[in-house]
Amino acid sequence: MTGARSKLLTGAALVGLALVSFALSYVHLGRGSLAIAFGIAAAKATLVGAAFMEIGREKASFKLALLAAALLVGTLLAFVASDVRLRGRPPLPPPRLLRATVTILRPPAPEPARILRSTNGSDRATHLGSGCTSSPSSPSAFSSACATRPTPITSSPSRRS
Amino acid sequence: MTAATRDHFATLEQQAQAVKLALAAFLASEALLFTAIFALVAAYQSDWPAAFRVGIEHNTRVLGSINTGVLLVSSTILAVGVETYRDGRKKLAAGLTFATAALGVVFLVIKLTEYAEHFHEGIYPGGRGRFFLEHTEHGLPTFWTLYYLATGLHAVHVTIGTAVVGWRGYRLLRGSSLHALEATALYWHLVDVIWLFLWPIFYLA
Repeated sequence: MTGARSKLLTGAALVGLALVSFALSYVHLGRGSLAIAFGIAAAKATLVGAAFMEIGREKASFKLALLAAALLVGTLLAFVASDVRLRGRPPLPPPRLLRATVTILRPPAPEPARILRSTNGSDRATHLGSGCTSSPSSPSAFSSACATRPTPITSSPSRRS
Repeated sequence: MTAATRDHFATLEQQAQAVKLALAAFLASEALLFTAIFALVAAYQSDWPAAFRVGIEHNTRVLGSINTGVLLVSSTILAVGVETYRDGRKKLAAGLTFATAALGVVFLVIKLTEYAEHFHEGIYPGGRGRFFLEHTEHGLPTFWTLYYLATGLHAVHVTIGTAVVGWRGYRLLRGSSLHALEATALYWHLVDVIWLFLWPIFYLA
């Protein structure tokens, strides 16, 4: 088989794999769809690297540079994957002395809001002792005193949907 | 020493090897750059899978898939062009190189058509536009911003590649070396490989 013909056959295989990816995108495969699509993409990339870029025929120095890149890529992806998997979990509890320090430094919790009925009949929430008020119709319209109030330490809500 | 050899190289073979090694380092850095973007997309997709599904469903899947075919065919043609040059048919090799550059232009035209369609729908980077008033999924602006970032950066690479491949075709007619054509082809194939991963992330999965 001539070199040009083998390149053409590789190209046909690449287009065939792309058509498989395209067809599978219309099949509902759930969470596995991305893994399958990436698997096919990796197969195509391997074909391009082997047949078109002819990496196997290059000298060792060329392969070494690509190998270093592959190792760095793998390290980056491994750390990102571990971060994504573990970031939702609470951290380890702090040592006892640090925990006590955190308790002392923690600002006081806000006092509970109480719904007051005003003379004109409208309801408003009053944060006792702070002078901050908000009305149910516009809960974001806090008075300026609230803006400077220290916020309590709370865990941020998860962004996962 | 041949005429094409630079002063600081003993032979053309040594010079070609140095070019290949430099190109390997460049390709490695490019792979790392795009892997960082892939990792960013994967992390955000893990946070907001529903929003990313909505983004992919609204994307121009057919145009993106046609572009995949265009790049695959262009890579094949350039690889055949390298083989043709090795066989001594330099004019045919130059013609195939010009055909590759033309397909690069086709890719860019389709990409610009996609962007125009998105702008018409009111999808702009940073979550701007009327599309985001109608679709309020948390994470959707992130999907489209990453889409513009990744595909835009790739389009810049295709633009550079198209210019370099076209120039190489012109140089082949004037007696450019096989090593120069091989180096150009390596860059074009890398651009192709990057798109092979961008396509499922933003159009298919």
